Amino acid sequence: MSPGGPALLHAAVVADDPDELVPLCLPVVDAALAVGAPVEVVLDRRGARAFRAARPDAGLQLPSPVDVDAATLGHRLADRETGAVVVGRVCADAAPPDRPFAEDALTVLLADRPLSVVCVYAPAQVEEARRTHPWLLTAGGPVLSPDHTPPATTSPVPAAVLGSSVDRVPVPDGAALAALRHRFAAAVRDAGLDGERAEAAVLAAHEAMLLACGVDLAGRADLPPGDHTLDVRVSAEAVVAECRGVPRDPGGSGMADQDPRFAHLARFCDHATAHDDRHGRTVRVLTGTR
Amino acid sequence: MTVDAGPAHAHLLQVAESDHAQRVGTAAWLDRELAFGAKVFYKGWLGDDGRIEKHWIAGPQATVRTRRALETGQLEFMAFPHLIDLVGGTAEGLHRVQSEELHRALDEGWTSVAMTQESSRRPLGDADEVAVFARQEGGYDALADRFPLHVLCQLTTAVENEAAVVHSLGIHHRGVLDVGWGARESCGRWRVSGDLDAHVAQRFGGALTGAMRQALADAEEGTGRSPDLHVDLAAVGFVDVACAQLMVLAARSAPAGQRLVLHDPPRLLRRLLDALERPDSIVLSEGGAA
Repeated sequence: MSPGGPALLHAAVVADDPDELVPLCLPVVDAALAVGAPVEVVLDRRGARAFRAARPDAGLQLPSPVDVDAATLGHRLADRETGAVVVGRVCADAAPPDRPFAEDALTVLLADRPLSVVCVYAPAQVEEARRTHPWLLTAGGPVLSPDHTPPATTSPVPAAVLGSSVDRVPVPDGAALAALRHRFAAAVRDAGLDGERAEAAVLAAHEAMLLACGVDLAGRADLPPGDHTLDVRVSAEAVVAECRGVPRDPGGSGMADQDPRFAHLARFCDHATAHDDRHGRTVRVLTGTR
Repeated sequence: MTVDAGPAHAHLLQVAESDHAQRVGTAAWLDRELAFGAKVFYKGWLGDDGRIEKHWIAGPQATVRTRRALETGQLEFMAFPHLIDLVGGTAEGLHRVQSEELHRALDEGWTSVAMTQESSRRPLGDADEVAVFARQEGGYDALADRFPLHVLCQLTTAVENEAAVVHSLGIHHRGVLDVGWGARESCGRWRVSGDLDAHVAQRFGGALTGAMRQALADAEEGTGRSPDLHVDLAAVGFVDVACAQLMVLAARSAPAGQRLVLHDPPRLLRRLLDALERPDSIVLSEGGAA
């Protein structure tokens, strides 16, 4: 799990051979074993043998790498038990164009899952490893990767899931909220919604942006300045407002789905989700069009 | 934002978030008043060199008509420090200056008079200062009721503290032109227009509080009026959670017997207020007489 709390630890570990790799991973592995959480090692025969030798009494799961697909790894891990650990080269061994997609998919899809996913990279891949992982696993434990490029708000989530991005609206401050509503209302109209249901979808998108920016209902109401964006996604079944809040001066806004605003906006759409990460918060509100 | 539309308000507070936006709105107001043949008195700040030539109304940001009016005397400028010397820091002093200017203009044969002042940058840090400010502004109302006088008070939020902004809105609730919303008092109703969202919530809250307080004060003066505040929302297109919550808070904090009656509310407002546990002192009315 992330050192910052019960969320995903998605870390890269850079090692040339199993003898170097195992000591780096053991603190994370032992922490999981200590609480009875499952540990899965997806490495070739040499790597698996090194882990088994290091912890002969632990019930490690050792699937063959050929049975684990990088493209579906996020779904495969989505229902893992709390505290579970996976160590492997699944993404690193994927075809180069697929690697960043697979890593971003893990970062986004598992953002609020209390898991540890440790991706093993060779020293020649260190730059890519640092760029695609929020964390790096070092001899001193997990450290934030200074070179991590967070996934774009839309690209890691396939269009088949949330629809295609049809508009992207920068929302730098509260004065831009009117533009957010105007542009989202146009998309909602184009998607075939009207009347109260269309107005409710716009209200939900507006409130989603405020929640994404951590605006507290009990405190100052206005949107703090930052690089916030609304991504409007439309599919055959739904229109989605994907609000990404990145305040310049992040405060302790607490868990998004426990914020009273989350309960309010959920009344005005069909489905709402919120994800926190170390850079900000993404809130999605979905309204069906059929 | 511009005031160059619709009938002129006798006493209007123009709210802008930057000097530039304030000048755009004021330039339009000035041009219209001058075009309709009013004598205009302008109170404002000069730079360190104290030269009117450096003020924006003498430069290209003003219209040709405004610059010519400065030369002919149709537009008179007074610097704030000089005004403060004349007024002596009292409401009575300001009333005297207002009255002298008005009567001098009428004696000179001008058919109407207009007065405007820039954001005063007063801290309004305590109740006494707020009371003096309210009495000073009341002087404009008293004159506008009896004479052909238009008053434009400029409030630039970038140069004022939060307390000054909120109190200014409360004192000027009868005529407000803000970013994206406005309010005016007419036929016993407080008529609000535009979008009420988190960006303007603090200002809307200040105006609402002022309107509630005024309704109560009018009732307590033995006028036979009800202390209820009747708010006409027919021209409001959007209300978010923050502003709906302000309505709930205003109603909850009102003394027993005072109600907030909302006429023609946007259709989602009822759902929002119900989600916020609307108190009995908020009454929703679809049309009908006040």
